[in-house]
Amino acid sequence: MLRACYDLLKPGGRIVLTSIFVAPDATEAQYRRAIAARGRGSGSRREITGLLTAAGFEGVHARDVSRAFARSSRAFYETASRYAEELRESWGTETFEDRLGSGRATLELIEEGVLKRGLFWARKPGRVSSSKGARPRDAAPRGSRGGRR
Amino acid sequence: MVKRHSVEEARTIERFKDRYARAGTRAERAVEKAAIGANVGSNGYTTIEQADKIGRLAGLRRGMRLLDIGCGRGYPGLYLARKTGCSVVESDLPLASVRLAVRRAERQRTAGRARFVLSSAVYPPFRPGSFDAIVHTDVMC
Repeated sequence: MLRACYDLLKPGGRIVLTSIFVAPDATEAQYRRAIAARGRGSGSRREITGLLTAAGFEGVHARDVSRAFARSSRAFYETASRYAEELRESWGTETFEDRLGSGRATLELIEEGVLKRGLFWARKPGRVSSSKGARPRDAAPRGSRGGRR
Repeated sequence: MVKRHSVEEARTIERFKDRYARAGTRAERAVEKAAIGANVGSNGYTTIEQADKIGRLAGLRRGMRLLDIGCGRGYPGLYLARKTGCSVVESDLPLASVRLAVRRAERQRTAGRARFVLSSAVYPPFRPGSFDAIVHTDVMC
């Protein structure tokens, strides 16, 4: 996926991404709980910066944004609990219970230091060129007629 | 041409199908605002402050072309297009989510600078060198 992003960028283009991952020092049991709560992740912060470098990017940076992740997760869980009746009706009971359960598990794992979230950014080597004057269809998907409206 | 989805892509579509089918209630807006600080079409953890930082790190400005992979209901791509004046291609797999992103773009009057594509993150259907910047928020987890 990161290699595909590299190819899609112009020289000097930038990639910025966030990713949730399991802390490298998590125990096997914690890792299994994290996978159960969030699905399979992409590995540690070091692995993601390594993947960016391996894809050809330079100027790779990472910042831990786990504290904000904890605040957002807590706000999600508490507010969803407060609006339980409406959300059950809107999402259906099964989906509501799944999402709330996942939210609770996610919050617990963040507070235990098992789940982390990082902000990553990097640049494709080469000189930045302006997009001005480029034809609009340059960014159109292959085989498309240029989006919909 | 009929495109077949991979097992992983099919799982993603199934996982988010219900989430987007009934999006936008009063309760959902309350949850979104509490979690990220605004109602901008998010169902994740990227706060408004983080979206602004992403825009700065990506160096976005008018005339630039941004690809938002796994855009969901259009965040942060449409938000960044509105804030910075860049154009954006919003891409995701579930049709329901992309439809919501289209509606959001029309509401916030960024539709003229936004395009929408049903596409996976692994095999994006664009020409090489098409974009000045790419963002994706928690698509890899």
